[in-house]
Amino acid sequence: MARLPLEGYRIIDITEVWAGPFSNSLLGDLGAEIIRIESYPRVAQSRPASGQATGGAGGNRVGPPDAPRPWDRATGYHMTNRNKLGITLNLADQRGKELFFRLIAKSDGLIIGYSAGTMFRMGFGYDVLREHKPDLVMISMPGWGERGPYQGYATFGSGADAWGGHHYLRGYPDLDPSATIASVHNDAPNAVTIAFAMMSALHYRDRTGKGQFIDLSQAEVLINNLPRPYMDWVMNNRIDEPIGNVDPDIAPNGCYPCVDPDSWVVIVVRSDEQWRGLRRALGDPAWAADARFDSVLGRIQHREEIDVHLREWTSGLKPYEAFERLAAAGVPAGPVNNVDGPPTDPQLAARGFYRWVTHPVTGQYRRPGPLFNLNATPAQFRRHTNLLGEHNHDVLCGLLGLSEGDYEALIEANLIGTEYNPEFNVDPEDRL
Amino acid sequence: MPDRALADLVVLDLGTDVTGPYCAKLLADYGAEVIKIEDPTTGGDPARRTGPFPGDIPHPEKSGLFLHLNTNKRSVTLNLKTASGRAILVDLVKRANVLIENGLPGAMDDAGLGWEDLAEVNPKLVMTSITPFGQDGPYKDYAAEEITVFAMSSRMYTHGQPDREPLRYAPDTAWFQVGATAALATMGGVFAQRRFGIGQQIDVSALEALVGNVDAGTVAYSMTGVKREGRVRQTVSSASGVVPCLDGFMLMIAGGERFFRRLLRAIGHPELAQDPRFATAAARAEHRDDFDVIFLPWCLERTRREIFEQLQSYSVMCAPVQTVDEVFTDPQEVARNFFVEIDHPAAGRLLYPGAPFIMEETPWSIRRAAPLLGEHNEEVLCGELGLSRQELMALAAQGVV
Repeated sequence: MARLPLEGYRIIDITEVWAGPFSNSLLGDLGAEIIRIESYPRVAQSRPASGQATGGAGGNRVGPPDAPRPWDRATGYHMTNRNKLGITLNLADQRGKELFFRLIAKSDGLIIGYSAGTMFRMGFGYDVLREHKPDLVMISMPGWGERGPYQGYATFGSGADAWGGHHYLRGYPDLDPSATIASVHNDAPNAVTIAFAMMSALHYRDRTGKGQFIDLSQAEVLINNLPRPYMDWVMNNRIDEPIGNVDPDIAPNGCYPCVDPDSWVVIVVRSDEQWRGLRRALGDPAWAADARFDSVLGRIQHREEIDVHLREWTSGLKPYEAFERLAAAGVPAGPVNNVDGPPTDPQLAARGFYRWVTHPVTGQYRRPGPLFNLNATPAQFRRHTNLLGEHNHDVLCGLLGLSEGDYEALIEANLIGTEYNPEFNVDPEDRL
Repeated sequence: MPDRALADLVVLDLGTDVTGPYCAKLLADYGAEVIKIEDPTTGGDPARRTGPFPGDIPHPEKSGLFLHLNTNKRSVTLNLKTASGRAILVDLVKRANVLIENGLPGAMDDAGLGWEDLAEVNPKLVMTSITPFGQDGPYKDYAAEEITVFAMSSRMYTHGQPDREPLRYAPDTAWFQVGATAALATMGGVFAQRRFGIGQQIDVSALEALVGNVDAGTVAYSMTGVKREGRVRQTVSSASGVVPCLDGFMLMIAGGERFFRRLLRAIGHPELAQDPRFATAAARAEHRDDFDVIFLPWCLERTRREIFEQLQSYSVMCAPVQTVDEVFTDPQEVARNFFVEIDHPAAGRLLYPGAPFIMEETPWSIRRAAPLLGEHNEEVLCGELGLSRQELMALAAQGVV
């Protein structure tokens, strides 16, 4: 097996839900050993404690509500976690903290997903951790960043999406923002950016021997991804309005209905060449020969007239039929897939994108592959989604050298475990 | 002057528009030396012709998109359709760690600049190739746009109203995600280069980068066979969704058990936690209207800012729905000095989005504004490759630079 770029590096993952856990999975794909520490006995946000409980990661469960180990069955948890060793540890307890420090001493990086300020309250500031590992690379990744007045503020990616202007910009042009639901979009670019940040800092550390602390604001990552509206405000004091699916400079362009209920294809005709391709794909209908449609400006001017004809054509086809005919004629188009689209898509199948994995609790299933192909050092899915506390013994005894007696004492003291008691799924404040 | 994390990397950015250039920008802003190669026969990177422009007057040196995407890069124009243009690129490749390109699959090979060709002069080269669908497979030659790949990735289908067409996200967001993914992949190549002494081509398919990093529905479907619902109007209750308030809308993320109880305390109704109508997620969904009667009037009496601060002080997840102008004066961004002023010879002094993450030891920094087209031809080709001024002028006369 080829060597992987990050083999030999150890990263500690104390994050929840999506962006944080997935960033660690990506580093795991590249070969790092990821040790994920999960809350205990308090139930981790990403894990459902019972068959009925709502889990922060969303998604549904594999198996009936009374199936054993519900915390290992949430599909949202499986989505964001792979290639990791998983341990539980009560980090609020002094003994848990000491074990954590010992683990840090043997690690290269730490990605921590607490809200701003919490790492200091927990006693995990960079200055403290660096005493245990002088060249540690540590990333804190709160929604609005570690520093600044929003101490203690918490959000998922959807909050940054709303705050940073994306919720407003992605709405229907004729409806207010309540017409579109929250989107976790921002977790996805953040996951890759967090992993990129970790690698950049490790690269520097390898060269100089210096670690560092990285303050990542998920909202500021989003702003970097929206330069056009931000620069329009800077340049022209203009607040961009949502444009929906139609770029005003491109026609025809948009989302067109197909033959089955709620089935759609998107089409983009930017150039004269693509317009000629569209006409070919449609079998050169008489309406399209109209000279008014020969130029980009003409097509923009008569957009609605063209759309009536184009909708008539798409309405007789399935999304993939329309897409294949247009693509063969050089016209950018795409079926608007539901979740069952990608798994049967011919391109993804031809490239072997989906991979079978086997999980001890949920069995065999296919999951989307790595995000990229490094031809000489290809990623592998080396480890199934970690079970709760699956690697407690390997890590605490194997890596940290705890004796069997000390290990049993941790279990006895309820500081580690492999099963949750749903009774602990409460906010500490609720017990007051 | 503080050190830069990626200062030892030399990168050639042959990318156009968003994906390749954003990948290279991340490397450049954290310290890499990036030379942007632009085609002089087409007026350079097409992003130069994409707005916004000051006063809406198109100008190749004043595109807001281009200015943002190309900070800290030098620009060299090279016509790769000519033999001398290709020879110069090969010379640059000899000194480079990384080459980034987002042309169609095979385009670089056809020009004699494919991975195999370049590996002959630099076997350790990391060549990051970004395409809509990947370097092979039945769609490899298909034309694509951001919206078409986004639609295929399965995110669009659930976004919008049930009785309307599905909606894309804001333009560029998917392409930026692909660009950042390529930057991560490139670092993988850089580690293998530095540690094992090997080079490689990295094949980044935008479709795979999006599908592989998609929301819970994808894995849920493959694990359970249950297709998620299409577009839904609103989630479980007004504790989880967009709610109106005095001066706009708030996004509430307080549907889960812990957060809902905190919300009840934050709005002064802790006793409702014991109310059977609100005790479980299922009960809350059933009695949604009963909670709305309590919560919505509370919101309508308050501004977004008041609600944000009040609820966050109880650790209730929520956020104001803002327009981008409001972010510039948001207390958090003011305190973090996020936006940075950059002076550019054509576009003047403007504020730009700042660091996507703050590296304390090796800070993100702007060492130069986005380059003018071909601004660094002489500096790079004469100063670093050793061409004479006469040779450069001859190349210019032949349309090579």
